[in-house]
Amino acid sequence: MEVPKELIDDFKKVLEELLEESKTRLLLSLIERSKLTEKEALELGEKIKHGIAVKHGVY
Amino acid sequence: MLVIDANVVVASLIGRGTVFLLIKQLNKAGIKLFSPSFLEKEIEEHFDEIMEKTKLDKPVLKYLISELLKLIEIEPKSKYEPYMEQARKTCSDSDDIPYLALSLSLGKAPIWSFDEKLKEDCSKIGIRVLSSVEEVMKELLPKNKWKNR
Repeated sequence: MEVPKELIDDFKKVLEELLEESKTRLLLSLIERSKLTEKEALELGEKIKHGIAVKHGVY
Repeated sequence: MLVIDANVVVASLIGRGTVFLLIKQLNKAGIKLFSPSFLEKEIEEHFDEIMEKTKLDKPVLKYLISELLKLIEIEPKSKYEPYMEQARKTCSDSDDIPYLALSLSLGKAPIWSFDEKLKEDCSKIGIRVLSSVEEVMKELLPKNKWKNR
């Protein structure tokens, strides 16, 4: 029996969404292990931002 | 379209995962996130410090950062270089210049940043700076998409 192409496409789409969802959950579970605080994140972010500006030659 | 500040990128590694999830959600909703050049290089240069603060294993952190960077388009400097001078005149903090120039090059795209100075400066020239998760959700995500999570 031949399976209609639309059905295969729908199935693929559902599988892709499931995979994406699983990946997001995995990433979130990894991030949950992080001990980074808001204050540290801001400080690090500012350092990175400064480095980006320096590389742009704004100083 | 949304320009994303480095402080938001780093905040996506905070344990609750709220910022990361929002970045993913924006991506899913088809909202493109842009960063000025050198973001990857700078993250790489501060990798050890990020690792020390997050207390994550090296391979885990590398994986997280690589996945995160896949969600952000790093624009080449040449694309917003013509707007650097205008941005320089507006910014009270030189670190904000590349972000403002990038926003200008994208037709005054809003900027997602936790930087209050940037918000003040941008308001003078009509660029919106979204400074909280709630603000970004409210402004950019269709209500049903967020509710469905």
